[in-house]
Amino acid sequence: MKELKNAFLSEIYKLRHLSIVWITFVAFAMVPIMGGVIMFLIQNPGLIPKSSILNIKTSMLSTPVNWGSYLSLYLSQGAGIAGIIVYGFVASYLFGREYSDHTYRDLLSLPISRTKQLNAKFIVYIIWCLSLAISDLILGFIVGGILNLPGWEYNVILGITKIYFVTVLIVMALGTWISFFALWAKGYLAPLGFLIVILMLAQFIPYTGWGHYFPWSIPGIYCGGAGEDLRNLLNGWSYFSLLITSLIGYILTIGWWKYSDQP
Amino acid sequence: MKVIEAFNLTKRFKDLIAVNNISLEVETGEIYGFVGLNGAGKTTTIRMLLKMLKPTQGTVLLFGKDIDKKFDRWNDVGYIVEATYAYPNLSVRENLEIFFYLRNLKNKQLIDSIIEKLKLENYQNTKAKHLSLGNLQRLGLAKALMHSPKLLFLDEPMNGLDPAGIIEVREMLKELSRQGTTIFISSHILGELAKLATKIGIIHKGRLVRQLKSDELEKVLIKKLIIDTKDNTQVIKLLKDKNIPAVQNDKSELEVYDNQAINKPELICEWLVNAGVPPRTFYAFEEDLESFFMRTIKIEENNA
Repeated sequence: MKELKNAFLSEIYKLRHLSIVWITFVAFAMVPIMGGVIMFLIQNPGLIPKSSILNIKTSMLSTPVNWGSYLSLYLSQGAGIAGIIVYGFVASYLFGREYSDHTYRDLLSLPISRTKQLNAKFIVYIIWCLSLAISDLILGFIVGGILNLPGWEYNVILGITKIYFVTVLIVMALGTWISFFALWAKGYLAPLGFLIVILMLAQFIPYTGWGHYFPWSIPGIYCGGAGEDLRNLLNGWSYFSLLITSLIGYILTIGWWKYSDQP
Repeated sequence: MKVIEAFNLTKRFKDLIAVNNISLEVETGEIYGFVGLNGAGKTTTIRMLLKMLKPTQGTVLLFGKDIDKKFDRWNDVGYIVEATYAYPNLSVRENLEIFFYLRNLKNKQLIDSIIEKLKLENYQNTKAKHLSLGNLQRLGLAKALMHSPKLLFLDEPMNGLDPAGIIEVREMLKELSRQGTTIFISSHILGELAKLATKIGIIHKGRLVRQLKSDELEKVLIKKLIIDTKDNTQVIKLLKDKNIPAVQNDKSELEVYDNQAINKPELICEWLVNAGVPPRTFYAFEEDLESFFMRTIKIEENNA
């Protein structure tokens, strides 16, 4: 336990003076802010020039302007899609930086085992992603408060917050594959490439009718972004495929770092 | 006590045999100089000794323990492998703090003392990305030495150091060796290695072609007298009369390999003066590690 704690402390130290940490918070903050802007425009359609795409989009949206729709549409669904990108970036940075900084060799022959070193990185990943999620939720409440959105109902807010955090956890769980690709390809590029491919597949596969079994489509479906009908298709096997996929990613990450050659 | 034992180490990368059946032993307090051309297999061997690469064949024991089986003595090992790198966003002190945690150390004074020892006081708050190559190398050495390891693997530790830095590090390594630290060092600066190493291993094309202790090395290094006079033919005759063979080299100078002559050069000088052929050039030449290394490699190439 002491070794894991020390590995964790070293990981925290490594993040000092890094602008990348704040950049991820700013990037993720775009979700509630942009959601708030759209809510504001729906509230005040006269402010949008007629030629604007937003105007067209806004007119298409028959979204009710209230806390429920704001948190559900722009926070949970935002987490489901933007989360895959931002959390993927966090994982690729945490696990790929040792190669881009060329420091990975310094970590290989130490008293703290390689598994514990990676577990420490996963703990930092979880804390970083949860902090992003909490900061977005707080920001969402602030934006909603500023917009003076109606319909603050405790049960509705609690239900959506629960969906939000489960979506966040689902997205986080899939980060194990990003960590594996970062170690396997020794840097950031491959995991980011993997992320782009997987995002395209996550959008495409639901059209085939199998989206509720494809792990990277599940966050979008779970948060309601693909509609209630699709969400109702999620079943035990959907969550099992998610769990297994995450676990395989974790095992591959640990196994690769532990057993592969590190030239 | 044998600190490093490698048995039949082989490493293949697809069709390339980077290291071929190397066996070596290093005793406590020895400084093992590992010499080879670029691509000879030095770094691959060091990486296998540090469990960074899995040997295709062979076993490594450090402190008598197999590094593949629950090896628990990594805190007795310090290392620099190839170039030194550090976390660029962190200062010298912060970089050392990371390894303070990763090595489960308890006394933070160790950071201060290694900063002082490697003369990094003025740079302790400088970010690694702003350090000169020499100071980055000092940081690498600080990371390798902070926990007072009993075994040091140093791959090109003198890289980037200025002449004063090289001398400081050399003296520090000698002192560590005197205190019982075993050092396995590779360097392109063979003159430096010759001043340090108590044992030399020459690796060529993945094979350990020669291994010898420094006193053995002393015996196999070529020693000769170089003589040049106005009449070298006469000198050859004169020396032949004294049973001292001399040969003419491609610069038309004379080379004398006779031990008696090498040990008493003043006698030869006296004979030459008395015979009316005083030397214009007269010096004793002793082969250095660099020449010995090149000669060994050449023999190896010819035998191949």
